[in-house]
Amino acid sequence: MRWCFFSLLVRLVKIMDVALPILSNILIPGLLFAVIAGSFSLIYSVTRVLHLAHGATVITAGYAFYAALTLWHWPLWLAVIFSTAVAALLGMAINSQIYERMRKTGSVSIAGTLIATISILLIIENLLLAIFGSDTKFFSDLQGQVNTFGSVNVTDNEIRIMIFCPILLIILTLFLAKTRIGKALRAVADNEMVAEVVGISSRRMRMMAFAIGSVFAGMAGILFAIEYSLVPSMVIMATIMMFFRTILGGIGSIGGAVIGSLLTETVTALTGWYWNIGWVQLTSFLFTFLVLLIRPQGLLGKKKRSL
Amino acid sequence: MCMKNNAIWWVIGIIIVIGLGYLVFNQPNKQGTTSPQPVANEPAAPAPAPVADNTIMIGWMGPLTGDAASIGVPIQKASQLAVDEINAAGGIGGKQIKLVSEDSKCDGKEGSTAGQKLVSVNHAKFVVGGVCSGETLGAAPIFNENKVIDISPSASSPDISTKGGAYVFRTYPSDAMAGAVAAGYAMQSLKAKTAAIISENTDYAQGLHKVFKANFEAAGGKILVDEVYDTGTTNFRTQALKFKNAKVDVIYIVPQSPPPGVAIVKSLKDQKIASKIISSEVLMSDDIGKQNASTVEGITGTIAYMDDKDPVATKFMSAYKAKYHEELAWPIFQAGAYTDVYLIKDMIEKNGMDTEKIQAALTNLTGWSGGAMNNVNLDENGDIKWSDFSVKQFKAGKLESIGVFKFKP
Repeated sequence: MRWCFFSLLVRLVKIMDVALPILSNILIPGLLFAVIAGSFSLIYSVTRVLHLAHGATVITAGYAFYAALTLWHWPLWLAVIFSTAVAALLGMAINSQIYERMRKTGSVSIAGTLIATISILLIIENLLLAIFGSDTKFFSDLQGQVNTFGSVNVTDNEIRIMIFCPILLIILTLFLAKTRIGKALRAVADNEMVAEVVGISSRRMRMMAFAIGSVFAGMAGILFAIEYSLVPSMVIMATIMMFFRTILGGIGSIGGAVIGSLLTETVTALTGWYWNIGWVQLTSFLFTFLVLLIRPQGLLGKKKRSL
Repeated sequence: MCMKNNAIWWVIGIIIVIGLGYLVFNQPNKQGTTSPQPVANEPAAPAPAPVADNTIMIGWMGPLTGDAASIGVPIQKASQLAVDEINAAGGIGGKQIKLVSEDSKCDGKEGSTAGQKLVSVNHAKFVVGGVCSGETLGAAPIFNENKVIDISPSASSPDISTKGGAYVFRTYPSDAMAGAVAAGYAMQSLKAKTAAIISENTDYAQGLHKVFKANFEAAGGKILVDEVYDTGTTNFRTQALKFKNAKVDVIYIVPQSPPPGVAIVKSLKDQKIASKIISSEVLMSDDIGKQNASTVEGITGTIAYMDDKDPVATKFMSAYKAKYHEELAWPIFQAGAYTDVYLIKDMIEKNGMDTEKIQAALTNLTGWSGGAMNNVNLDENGDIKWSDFSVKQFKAGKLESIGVFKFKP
């Protein structure tokens, strides 16, 4: 009996040796994308717009951070505030100049907004390419030192991600649950017409959703840029990854975004470990596809009400 | 209220558009204190030469933007130096030469577009390039179809020997040698029995990957982990963890350009890996050592051997430094690009503009000296005959040679 227990313990320790690093591999991109996908979900649930250009907001914030810090040599705190502000302004500008205008002319259909948002995505990607060039921008200093915790080696920035992202998600959830504006946002997300009747300006709430969502995207964008470096082609990649993680978890649900991201990263990490890195995209898409076959609204998604 | 809101947005919008236009068309010097990229040089503009009817167009093809530009731009400048020197000395047969440079972004598709443009629009009958194997292979069919002589100073994929075609030549040895030398170094000098390979998904890197694997396994070694990553990957954490877990003796890294290479090494060092790291020539530059001294410390790599004490080489290097006020980042590639222009000049002088005749003359060329190289011999595939490879190591940010290996076929 004792031998049984001991060998199990040894096996457990050996697994931990491998499992903990894999876990860190899951948490780092998983938590980052949870914030990105979560804010994307928020925007969708309040405005019913599939704001795919959200991915562009993330990367633009990263480039704004690069410009402020590396090109103009601003202090770190100023660069962070600047990047977040740029992200927020970008999101709000896209909303007011494009989506709201489309609403006025009555052309806010799924196809219409999809064309608009993808166009903005491509325009932003090419603008970034034209301004910053196609070479990779690194932030090696900010990645920080490597810290060893047993079998896990994480850089300072990776620790930052693992601490800040959950905090951001908690703040977002509490904000939505407890504050007046949060409740108003949820009201509009739930039923726009009834919310208007009760006196909530859905137009203002939509702008608020874009503002808040883009702020979170901006903060995630800074951490993303430091961890993964910046290349203009990341705009499309980040958007696709964000989108698939969101629909896996169920669009319209922030908890779904978190679960979708973590689950996808788990599949990615396990595929990369036991198989080969080249297959990672394939398996994660396959997995998402299979889940959607069984549960089309996503893991935590609500059954769609007709619009 | 609505109107005022709108006006404000318009004003902001116009300011942003003007600002963006300024940024786009007035590139600031892209210096980065935290970026490991070298200062983005502008490729050399051709020295003012009258574009008359009696101008000989020589094409140049390579990455002038993107991650591989740190290799492509210095190489272009070396070719431009040769062109300027020749023009100053009276040109070729009284005619001035013009170097038309195309950015092929180290990519096969872009290579074929660039090659097409050089042939159809610029009517170049001679091209120096590509720098990368992918773009060279991409443009090769066009050069062969149009009987355009192409000499590459740095493309090293073994495929170019067979798939390059009759009109593609190179003054840099095939990776069939480099991979064997790296494997030999790993087995004999490092006494490695197990290895892991990580290579980029490009023609060049996969060619080298196959050669190293074949040679290492033929000598009795075992490849425990073999990872291929796509161009554009920037995070290698998972691969680094896998390598660490496999506890291999040696890790062979084959990036296509410096940035992913440096990122891979950083990930490996972050995970405190004990294995020895061998790199392909993509990281073997003093420039990279300067910017990433602590990251690349201790890494070894192979690169074709260049005797930089040779008088023709030193003459070229001094001329380069005098003209561009910078050290040579890739001496061997730059010497090759410089030499290729002189080789073309010599061929035109001996054979006129008849590229068919020149193709025959270049095939199995023996004992040619000129430019920055001596005793250039090309074989029946258009490959330069070569046998000496350096193994170099980064020590305190500088590359030091730790041995010269002879390749024995």
